[in-house]
Amino acid sequence: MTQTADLRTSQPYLSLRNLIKTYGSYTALRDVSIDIKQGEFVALLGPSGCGKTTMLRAIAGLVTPNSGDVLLAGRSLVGVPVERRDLGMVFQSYALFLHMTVAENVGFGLQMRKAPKTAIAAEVDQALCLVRMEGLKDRYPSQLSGGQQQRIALARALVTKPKVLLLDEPLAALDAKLREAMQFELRQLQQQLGITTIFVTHDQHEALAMADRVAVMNSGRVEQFDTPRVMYDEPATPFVAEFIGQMNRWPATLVDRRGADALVRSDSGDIVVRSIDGKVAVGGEVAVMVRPEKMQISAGSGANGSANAVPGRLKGVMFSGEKTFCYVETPLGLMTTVMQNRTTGADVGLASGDEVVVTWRAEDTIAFPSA
Amino acid sequence: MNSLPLWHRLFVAAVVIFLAAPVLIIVGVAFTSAEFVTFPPRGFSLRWFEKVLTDAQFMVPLWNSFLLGVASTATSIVLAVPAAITLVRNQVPMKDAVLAFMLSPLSLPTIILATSLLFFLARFGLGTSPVGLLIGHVIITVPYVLRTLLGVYAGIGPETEEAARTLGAGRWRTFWHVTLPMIRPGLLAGGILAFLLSFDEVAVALLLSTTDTTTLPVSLLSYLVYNYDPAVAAISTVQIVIVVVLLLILERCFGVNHLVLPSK
Repeated sequence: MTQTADLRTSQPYLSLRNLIKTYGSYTALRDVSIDIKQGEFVALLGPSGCGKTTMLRAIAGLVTPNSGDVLLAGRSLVGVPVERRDLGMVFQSYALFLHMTVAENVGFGLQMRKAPKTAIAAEVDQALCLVRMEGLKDRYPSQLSGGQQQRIALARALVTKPKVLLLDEPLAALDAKLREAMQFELRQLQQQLGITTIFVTHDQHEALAMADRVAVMNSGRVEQFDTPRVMYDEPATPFVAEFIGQMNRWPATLVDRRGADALVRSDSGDIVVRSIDGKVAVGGEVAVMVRPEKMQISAGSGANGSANAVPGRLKGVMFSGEKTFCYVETPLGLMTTVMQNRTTGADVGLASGDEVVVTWRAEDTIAFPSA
Repeated sequence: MNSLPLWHRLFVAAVVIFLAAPVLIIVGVAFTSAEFVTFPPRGFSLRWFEKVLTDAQFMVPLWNSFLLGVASTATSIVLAVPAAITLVRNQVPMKDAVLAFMLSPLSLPTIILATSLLFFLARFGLGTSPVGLLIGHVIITVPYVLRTLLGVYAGIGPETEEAARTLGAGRWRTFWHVTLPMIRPGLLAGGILAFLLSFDEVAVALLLSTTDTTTLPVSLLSYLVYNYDPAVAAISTVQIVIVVVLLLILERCFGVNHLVLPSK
């Protein structure tokens, strides 16, 4: 794989500063600030209604924020009309011009910039080549499949060589197989062009797989803006921890701090936790979280030398192809563990009703102050 | 169609006959050689067509009706397009009330409308002027154009226009290159309705026209008061032919078939 495009410049290319947007009594953006580097692929991820699309539309100029600023290469875009922002956008519905051919659709941006006809034709060919749709120039959008329409919409947005590419759930309407193929292709294309890209999605796998950095949003705020790996391993807030991937969660009380680690007391004995928010006082309530795939499950009741162990009874085993999920009833509630099926026909070797012990390492354990 | 049961097909046939029979009778009567209206027609002649096509008593009102229909349609479109765009895309205070008001001429008997317009326009010295007549017809036709446009435009969604904006088209060029082509089915359907309504309208034209601006339906009405010859059938046939030819031209150019009967 080619290395991520030009991320060397530390100067932010696109900056959102304290953006606020309200619709009547509903607040879509609450004081959002993020800095995006040139050539970076950023995913805006969150549940529906979290403000991610509003944020994208504010960058495009389709939404006017109540306050705050959008800076592109150091210049404010506030007050600059949509058509003069020089950004490319792909809509979830693709929004192709149904009365125009593919070539006319793709050439529209150049036509609006009053480019000469011959130049338009050449650029359109190039853009269609980029999305591998060369043969369809004279078709109308209604004669194309969803995947083809998606590529045409992408070509139309790229043909003007925009400063930033804005993608509003562009793959949401495609079926699963095609979506996966397009994720890879889109990412390759973005790196090839080195174009700064902002991608709105509600699909966490898509966000983690494609983006250099992910901004997880929740009720109008950016909860965390980080690389996918940090986002997954070191979530900054309980929302991020539980929104991305799966989490086992149970309540406990902080007993003691020892250097980097902390000791918490739960209904099933003491648990060693990696790091904990400095604000939590000894005796404070915390929520302990561990990812299912970080947990081990074995027969018997010994701790196997792991820092943390909870006894339980195996309630069910679910085989799902590449993984097997085990559900264990413990004094802390139902816990999920995941095992990779590395060999064909691999079996857990355990049956429902077996006495088991769930073990995991201190560094895989995180805790947040209880809300 | 083959799957339709017999009674269903008979019913459809009955409806078609019921709708088409009066038209066919008029067309048949127009070709009679007799001095008066009879059906079935006696003999075959084009004498009544010759009479009406050379008689200024019919030709001037026909031309007036045509001009008035075109002017009413054009004016209605110019008024209805911005109204539809604003009502569909923008936050308009009391949107429902505004819409109901703009469609309200639909529920008013045209003779009442005509009477009050006559009094109202007379205040401005427009009582029986061509402008007054046009205003009267536009009031009748604009709700039809607006209603049709609203349906088509609301079904489109704002994203296509937004896409045009992000591609560098300002508001006006977005309207010209994207919005207008997208609402063309609604424009054509509404425009055809408006033209046919105006072309046919009696009550407003009766009160607001003069001998110079009299329209075909009005002059037919007054002609019928003293005459009972087949000239009326002949000029009606001419009128039908004009409308059919217009529809055929539109059909050839734009495929009106699925435009007049939008799928939603």
